[in-house]
Amino acid sequence: MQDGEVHIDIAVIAAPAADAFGNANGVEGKSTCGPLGFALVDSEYADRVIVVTDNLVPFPCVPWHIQGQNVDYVVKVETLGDPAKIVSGTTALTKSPDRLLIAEYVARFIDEAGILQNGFSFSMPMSSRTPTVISCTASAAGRIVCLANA
Amino acid sequence: MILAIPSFRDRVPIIVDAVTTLCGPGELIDVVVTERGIALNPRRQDLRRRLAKTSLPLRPLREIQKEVEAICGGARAKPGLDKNKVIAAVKWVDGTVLDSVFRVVDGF
Repeated sequence: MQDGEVHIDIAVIAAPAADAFGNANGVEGKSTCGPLGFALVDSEYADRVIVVTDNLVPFPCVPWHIQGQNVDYVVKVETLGDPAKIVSGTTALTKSPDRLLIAEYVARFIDEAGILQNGFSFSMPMSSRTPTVISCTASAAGRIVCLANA
Repeated sequence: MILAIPSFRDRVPIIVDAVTTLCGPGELIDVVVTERGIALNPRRQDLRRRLAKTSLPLRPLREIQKEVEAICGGARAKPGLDKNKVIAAVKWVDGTVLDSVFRVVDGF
């Protein structure tokens, strides 16, 4: 996108929280989903940017992942979708004992190696080809949250 | 980077001497976590020191590979490739061409 190899005409960005100026984040409201990573890049490079939200908040929407200056329209809808469906198909938690063991090892490794710190960035590759990686890291993520709270 | 991966899928070993298509530089993988053990990248001796007292099953990658090959009945068969027929290029995020995807020969 930065190099101009891919041109985006319109980006429609579903945001769990947004104000009327288009400042938006993914960490507030009933449809929280975490950082709006890919959408952030889209908002910077698309010709026209539409933020769709089911949670229109008073200005300013803080923290903002999407900056209002990059947004052309904000649309309020009843609901963005069904969060319960996010964990389905290839992202469903595995029941396979050996894959759960891998998840356990990953969580223990992160804990015991002492690499979990404030500001820790956790990225999870998503690919239909490697459902194991997804399920393992998803389980580990659950543990990371627990460890962070402990 | 942590690579969480089962040691074999559908009776086919995952750890090989050389991959068919390189999709990412191995130096970026700090640790490979399988259900049969955890292999640290030898470059990350700092992680090894941090885990000096761990009960986690740290093992050399080669050792896990040999164990899995014994279970599966050998190493994974190499696909027959037509090295003259490039059908795609694998680019890293900075644009560096990492590898080529070659056509599989007929009948393989």
